[in-house]
Amino acid sequence: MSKFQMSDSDLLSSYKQGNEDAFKKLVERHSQRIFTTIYLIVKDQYTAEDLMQETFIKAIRTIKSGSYNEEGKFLPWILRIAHNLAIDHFRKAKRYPTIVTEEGSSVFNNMEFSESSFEELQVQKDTYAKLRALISQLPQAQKEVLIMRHYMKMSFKEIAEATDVSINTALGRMRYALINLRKRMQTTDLAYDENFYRE
Amino acid sequence: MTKTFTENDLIRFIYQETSEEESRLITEALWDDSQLRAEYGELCLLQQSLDGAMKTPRASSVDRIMDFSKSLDLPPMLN
Repeated sequence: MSKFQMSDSDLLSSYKQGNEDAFKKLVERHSQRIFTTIYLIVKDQYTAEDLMQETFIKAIRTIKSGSYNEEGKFLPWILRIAHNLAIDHFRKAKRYPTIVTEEGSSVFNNMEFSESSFEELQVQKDTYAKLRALISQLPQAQKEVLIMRHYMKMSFKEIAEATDVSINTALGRMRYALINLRKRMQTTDLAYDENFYRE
Repeated sequence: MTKTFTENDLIRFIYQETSEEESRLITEALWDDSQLRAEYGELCLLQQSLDGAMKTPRASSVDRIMDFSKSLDLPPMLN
């Protein structure tokens, strides 16, 4: 039994040989990041789950048909699929280009959780749900960079290329995204909430 | 000689996109500049919050993905 974690590349190789458990490990390793990326764009739990499944189905078909050729870059590859599907979903719904800050707390009220155990955990979940809502309310260009850099782990250079702006513009958008988030956290009493910084 | 760093530099730093030399200089500057240090601390906390805000899909969603994978019965590929 190895104490070292298998790399994505090793797991993919194993999956290609028919080892389904290897793929399950990949799904477990990355589903949270992929799901969050989609969720922050579509803002709906069930739509995000559908799109996450669609993302993995596309990946599975590509890998099993032998068309996958990005060894060692599984996460960026599948995150691009997820991001594109989420963007397509919004374009079809004609909502994506016109996301603006919603007045009041309606977004907060739409948040829901399937589990509730301890009150403390619930408070923490609510706090993070509010943060996700704040991210969703950011101006589109800022939200896009924040999702790409923080959740999709794209470099600022890659973001600049993908969004057709300079690296400085991408950096500036990220900076404003973080400044705006901080401001909004303060105005919604989220700043310095101990629940944010608990391990 | 002390170099002045901007918030953009700090953002590149916390996302590990600064060069080795830049990282060394920023680390030195953080010791000397309390305002920069405070800003850095705030950015790190915000970064942690963003990590914490990741959302987990329901287990049934993951199960459906695995069911699909198992149902797609293609022959194992040769490397």
